[in-house]
Amino acid sequence: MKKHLLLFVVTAFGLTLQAQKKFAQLDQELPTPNEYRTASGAPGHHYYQQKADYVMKLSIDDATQKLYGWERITYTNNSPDQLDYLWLQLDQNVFSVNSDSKLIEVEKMEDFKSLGDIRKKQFYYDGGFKIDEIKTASGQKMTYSINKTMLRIDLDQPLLPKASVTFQVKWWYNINDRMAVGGRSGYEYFEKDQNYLYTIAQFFPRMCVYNDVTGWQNKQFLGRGEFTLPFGDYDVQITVPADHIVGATGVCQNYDAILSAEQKKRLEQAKKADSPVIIVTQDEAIKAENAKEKATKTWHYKASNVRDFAFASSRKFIWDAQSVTVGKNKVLCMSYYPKEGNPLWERYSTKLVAHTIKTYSKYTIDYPYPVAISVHSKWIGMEYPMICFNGGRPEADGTYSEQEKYGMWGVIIHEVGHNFFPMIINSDERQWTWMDEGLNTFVQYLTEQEWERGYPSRRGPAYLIADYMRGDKKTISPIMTNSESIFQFGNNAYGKPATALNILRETIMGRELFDYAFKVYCERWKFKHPTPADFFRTMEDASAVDLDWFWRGWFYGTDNVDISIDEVKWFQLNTQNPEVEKAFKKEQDAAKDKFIGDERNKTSIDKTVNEKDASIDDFYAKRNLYTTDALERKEYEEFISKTDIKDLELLNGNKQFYEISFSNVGGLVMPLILEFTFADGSKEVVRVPAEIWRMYEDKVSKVFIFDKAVSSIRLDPFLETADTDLRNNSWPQEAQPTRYQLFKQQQAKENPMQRQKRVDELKKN
Amino acid sequence: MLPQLFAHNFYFAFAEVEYNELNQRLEVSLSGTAHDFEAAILKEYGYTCKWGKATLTSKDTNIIENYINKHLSFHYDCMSATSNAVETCSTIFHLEGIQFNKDGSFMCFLSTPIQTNSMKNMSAQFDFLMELFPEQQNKLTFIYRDKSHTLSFIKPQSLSIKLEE
Repeated sequence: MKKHLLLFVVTAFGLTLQAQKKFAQLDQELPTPNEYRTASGAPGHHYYQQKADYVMKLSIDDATQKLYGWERITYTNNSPDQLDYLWLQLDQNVFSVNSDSKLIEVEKMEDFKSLGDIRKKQFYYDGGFKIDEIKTASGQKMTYSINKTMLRIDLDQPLLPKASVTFQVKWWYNINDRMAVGGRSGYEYFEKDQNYLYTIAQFFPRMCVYNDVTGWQNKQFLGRGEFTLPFGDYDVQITVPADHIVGATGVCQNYDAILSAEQKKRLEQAKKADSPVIIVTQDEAIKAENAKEKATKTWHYKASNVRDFAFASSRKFIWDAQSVTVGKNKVLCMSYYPKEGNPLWERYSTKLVAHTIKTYSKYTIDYPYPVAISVHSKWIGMEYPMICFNGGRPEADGTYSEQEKYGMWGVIIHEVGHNFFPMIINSDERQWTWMDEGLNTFVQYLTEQEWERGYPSRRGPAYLIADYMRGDKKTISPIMTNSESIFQFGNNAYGKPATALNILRETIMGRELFDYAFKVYCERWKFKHPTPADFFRTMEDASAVDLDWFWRGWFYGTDNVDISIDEVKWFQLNTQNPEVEKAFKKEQDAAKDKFIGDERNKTSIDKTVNEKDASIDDFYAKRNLYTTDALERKEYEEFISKTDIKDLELLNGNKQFYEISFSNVGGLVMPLILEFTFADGSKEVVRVPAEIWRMYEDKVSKVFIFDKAVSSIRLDPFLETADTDLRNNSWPQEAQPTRYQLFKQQQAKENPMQRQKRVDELKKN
Repeated sequence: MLPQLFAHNFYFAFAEVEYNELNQRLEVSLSGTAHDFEAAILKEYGYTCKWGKATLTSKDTNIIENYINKHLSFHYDCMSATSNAVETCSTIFHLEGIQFNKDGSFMCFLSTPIQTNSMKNMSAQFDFLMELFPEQQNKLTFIYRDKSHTLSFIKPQSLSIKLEE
């Protein structure tokens, strides 16, 4: 109901000032800035990181599916600290018979319902590293100790700052059957042609990170929190059956000795091509599948400034490549896949690699490595520097569903994208999954949208996270939770941070400020080890937007967004002009609801006494409340003479005032995005920053002034805040149809097949 | 990492259930990951389905309906059909439709009649896919007379909602 204001009315907030919680600065949560990491979120003037260089000789025994390895590690201590021992990671030990990963799995008898379940639970696989020896560079045995997935080497002499130590490790392990045991790497056996496809990673004892944040990052690998690794240079020789094709981190040094002349020619063509060129054809791969050569060949790879090394090997591989230019760097994008991956892989994989490298480079840093590789690997998606293993396998008859196609596209973009997070912007995955998965999923969303307009991304848009964020908070972890303790890993570490960044970009900061700050973070921390504080601080430092409330709500908390429009009050200014105001009063009185008795009396009572007898009506009965007398006109003229012309214009401007009260039902503060629809059908969107909640966290009100009357108001009309309840987002209140009701409405209409039937009927006639 | 390609690390299902007072029915939309659902059907019924590719057969819809009724159920107080005694009634849903989306998700639409016109208490069990994925977490939002209540399920269990005093 519209109300009339006496000139300007001061709105009294029925609110009490609250202790600041949601907008409290993050200082207490973040580590104190220091010489290694500054308060602006950049590496400090004494920032350091260790270096681990590897020389490796590896061989795969295709008959027994064993990997044999020897490595010489040169570890350089760039820290100011003296190190008495070194820690290495033994990830394969997660498959050891006595692995903690199996023991910490919560189980119930329902998990043993079928014989198949029991067989799976009792499946025996002799996994884990078998360490043969650890020696110094000169061949002296070193003392070491294995604690599950961690290996400590005790040094005879402490490793001093700026000094290096070189040592050798010899090991072997049974490669896991990935289809039976699971895992991020392993082999797949193709029964039909009796061949193996190896995707090999985490296959060697790798140095742990030592830095200013964690000291040695030697948290056990329990299976979920991935890897934290120092950068270094790799020189790796891989011996495999002679008919195998190998793809690996880095650049092959001996293609001349490995490839046929024709294949080398095709490879040279691919280096200049902007669409994929086949280097090993399907026919050549099928020939190799059948021949099964017994001899071996050694592939030699080198990679500089990488944090890890992985490779894939199979005689089943088809291989294609194309070039893409990023800045001054020419990147060779490649795919390795068996015929079982076609037709999807030949058509899309390498093009997706190239698109991902280009798009990520636009939003983050220029891709610095010489190659980027996608390897076909049924079911999974897993990332390593320059190489990743991706699923997406059509049916045996070569057909595939739309979901499979989009699934494959999504996984390739995601895993190639991991080259940026965490392979180059090298965060601590074991501690914070979101720093690589969340940031990567966010840029994946941007990349998908540039691949196909309207790409059905399942993560990124705000409204897609609403179902996860609603409800009981006991089953939701804050994003800032250690990787191993997260409820709902996918939604928590991938979906919510990706959504949060998307909201920052679209709604809180705007694209220009966000993109600049995000790039600054990526540039600052490429080839370094960032922490959450470095990210939070850089985003603020480079944008001048105080985001502490946002990090606190979205990253440290579990509240959800549910803002409600509680009440709308409508006011107009009193013009003081008696002609205008009395006409308005008359209009209002006329518009009032009529009592039924009064209405009926109009006809049932022919004439009342005062209508028949003129002497009854006195001054009060005769005066007309809606006409203006001379005194009122004179007073108004006096008022005009004393009032500034601008104020008069304002008074006569027909301004409409709307006082809207909002409640923060969900707890997570967000901007108020309001779409006003006016009586004439036009619309206006007003964006109120989240800081409106800074002192009143539960309830606020705001007055909006327009030149025309508002007919309806919608809160969050573009679904950009992840509001979990849209039923309280409109005035007048609009019933929001449930998803079931939308389905029924849709069902009531003619479906496309029914329409096609009618078209066919028409053609017949 | 995406350990299960098409699952994309979701392990999450959501049901929106509304009590339709006009026709005394519960109306449900249930969404989740199609690939996971196919895997659950394979495990429970030994039936291989590729729903994104093919037109659903009546066998498919029977199996979907059967599986959902095993893993989504409601209990509420109702009057006995033969006496005035208060009994506990349970639901059996009828599948009205299913959509498979490009992003790998699906949405089922179901409904069931309710034998009461006033629900004071209601309990629900929603352990959809939990027998297959230990990490599965399901949420159910129940809309009753314009108020919504959200229940979170992290294991097979029955959770209650007090709807009226």
